[in-house]
Amino acid sequence: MSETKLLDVRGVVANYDSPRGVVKAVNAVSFSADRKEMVGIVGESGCGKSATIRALLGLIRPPGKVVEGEVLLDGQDLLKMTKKEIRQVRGDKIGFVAQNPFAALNPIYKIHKQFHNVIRAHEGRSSSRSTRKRAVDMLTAVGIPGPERILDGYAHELSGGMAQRVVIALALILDPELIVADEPTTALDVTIQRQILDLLRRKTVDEGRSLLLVTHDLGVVAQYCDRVVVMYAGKVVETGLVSEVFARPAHPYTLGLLQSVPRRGLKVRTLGGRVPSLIDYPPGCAFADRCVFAIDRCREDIPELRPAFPSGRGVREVRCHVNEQEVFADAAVDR
Amino acid sequence: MPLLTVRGLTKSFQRSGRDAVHAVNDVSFEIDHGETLALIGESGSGKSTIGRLLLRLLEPDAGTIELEGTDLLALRSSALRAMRAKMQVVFQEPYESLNPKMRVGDIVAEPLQIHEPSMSRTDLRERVRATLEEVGLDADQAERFPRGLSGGQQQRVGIARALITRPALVVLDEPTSSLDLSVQAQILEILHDLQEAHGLSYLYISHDLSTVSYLAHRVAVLYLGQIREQGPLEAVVQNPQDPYTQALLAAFLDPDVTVAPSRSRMLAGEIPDPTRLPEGCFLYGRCPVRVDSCRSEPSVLRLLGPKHYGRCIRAPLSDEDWNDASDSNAPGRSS
Ligand SMILES: Nc1ncnc2c1ncn2[C@@H]1O[C@H](COP(=O)(O)OP(=O)(O)OP(=O)(O)O)[C@@H](O)[C@H]1O
Ligand SMILES: Nc1ncnc2c1ncn2[C@@H]1O[C@H](COP(=O)(O)OP(=O)(O)OP(=O)(O)O)[C@@H](O)[C@H]1O
Ligand code: SF4
Ligand SMILES: [Mg+2]
Ligand SMILES: [Mg+2]
Repeated sequence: MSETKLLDVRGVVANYDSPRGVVKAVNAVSFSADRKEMVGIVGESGCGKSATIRALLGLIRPPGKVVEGEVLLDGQDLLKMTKKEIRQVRGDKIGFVAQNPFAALNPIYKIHKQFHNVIRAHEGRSSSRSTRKRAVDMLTAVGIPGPERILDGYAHELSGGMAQRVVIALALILDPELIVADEPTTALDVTIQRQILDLLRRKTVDEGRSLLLVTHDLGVVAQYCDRVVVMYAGKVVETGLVSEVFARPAHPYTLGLLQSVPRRGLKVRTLGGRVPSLIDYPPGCAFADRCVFAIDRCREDIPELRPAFPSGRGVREVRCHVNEQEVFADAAVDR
Repeated sequence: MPLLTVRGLTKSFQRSGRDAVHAVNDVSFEIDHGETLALIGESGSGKSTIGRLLLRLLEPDAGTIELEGTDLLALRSSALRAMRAKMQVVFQEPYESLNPKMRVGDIVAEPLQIHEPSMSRTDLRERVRATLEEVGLDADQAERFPRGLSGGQQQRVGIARALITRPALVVLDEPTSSLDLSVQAQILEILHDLQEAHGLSYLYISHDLSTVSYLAHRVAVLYLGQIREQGPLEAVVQNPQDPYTQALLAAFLDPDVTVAPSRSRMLAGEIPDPTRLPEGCFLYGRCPVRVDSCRSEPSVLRLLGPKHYGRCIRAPLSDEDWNDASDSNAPGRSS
């Protein structure tokens, strides 16, 4: 065994109670993130990406509940902590950038007050002048022009892209070891997106932190992440190094996502259908109805995660009954 | 004669007690029959405003808009209504643009009822049915309400509604940016097939390069309400001549892991405030390859190649120009 990973998520199950039944939003999800590593989480809308992140941060609220699993941060199980303890860890050790920036900002406090409160809550007393200096530096780092003016204003005065960058600055201000970001650059323009991704990459690689990045943008994963976790219907269906997974997809769903990217002169290959209801998990593979590789067994047995492409680099896992060589052969036809 | 000819289009938004926003500044372009012109640019660059001016949802301060030789701005009431049937729009947020209290069939029928009030109910129902099928919906779905449909189905309803009057030109304002990749691919394919089948022309507004290169024949790059570069897709995307276009294209992240992202062509800073337009070249403040005459000389579109126009007085720009710039006069380049 190698030394422990910074983050190790093991078999986490989280459900939401709804009038129509139990929504199995996070279905025995396991993955890890090492220091100096950017891990991307991808999948279509409703696949459980945000729910997974909320579960590991202790942020699932009723009607949702984490019912099983361990989330080890530096060997300590976050799911066993009291609310107070986990609140301390979030901030100190984990910086969180939520999907909706405006929900993460307080509408009635000036922006400076929000930085001040975060710093004080975690580091104890601290002068307004020193928190201001740190906030200015961090806002500058995320590319906000005129940070002084922003600090004296309120959240509603910010554009979506500005608000997003303020939230990123707040998440980074305490220098967390793990940064968890849910679609952090979706609201940003491409030229700004690159500035933010470069900053996050520097934090991760040069300063030895870990980053978990939820995104629907396969280009971001391809060009910035080291490893990728592909989710479908609440489960992990494929993991591995980005360079391996994107070059040789082993799961039909991963292949379908990659082929959905439009390219000049090529007919877009469309993944028909949509993510099934997470209430009645099908008796076999949840992807079977949309899968062009499906065999009879796919509708009867639920596939387990198993190793794929054993000769490739890094640990590679896939949840599929069909041999990965067959799936990859289909990808190769397209090139 | 082109289908649409736009000359000198200009629009400012006056705001009481505040400076006017110069959203669209002297914009000219043409769209041919059966052609797609993509309008790309960052948030706030004026893309949607141009779309709304064409549809006369807004009145321009200056400029002319001709559809098949008819001056749209001179038209009043009934003639304008007839013209509107030839020009339709599909918006970004499918749900927000559909009336939740109306059934799908009535939503799709509405523009036709306005345009051809004398049409019989049976004919109307038949046209609705045929149009729904053309965008890949079941005719039965006419009875449903938008709420019960998925995002992709709602967007198909939006497209059916735009198509039912058999328009010559459709303004597509980021029609897939709120959709999952797999659903986006389905919509793009439908738009492509409809264009082939009916010889439709599109003004395709987007900031996503992969969809642009799939759908567009020509591209116009917008910055601060002004076209910086315009030309055939291949010329603009493969051989961009303006530093802004080059930076915008370099910021695009390719999902193909074998393509390395460009790190050399990045712009510092943000889009300037559109209440105060810069003198001379609008890019001057952020431009790494600027020279003094960029500010003193008037900025005009010059012919750079076949049907290829650009504003940069230093064009054609080589790699060396950028390399020299990064060690010398780059304005506030972030570390
Ligand atoms: N508060 C809640 N109550 C009931 N169900 C919920 C709640 N929050 C999430 N869910 C359900 O959990 C499932 C997973 O949702 P989640 O938000 O994690 O998706 P996601 O992958 O983040 O999607 P997106 O890309 O749209 O953000 C969905 O079926 C969703 O409807
Ligand atoms: N009704 C309005 N009143 C005042 N300003 C407006 C109005 N509509 C647009 N603007 C301003 O005009 C400029 C251009 O806006 P527009 O919506 O056309 O941009 P866009 O390129 O479509 O951006 P996005 O990609 O965010 O949709 C922006 O600065 C915007 O704030
Ligand atoms: S298990 Fe079967 S249905 Fe599921 S992805 Fe693999 S081949 Fe397709
Ligand atoms: Mg989410
Ligand atoms: Mg717009």
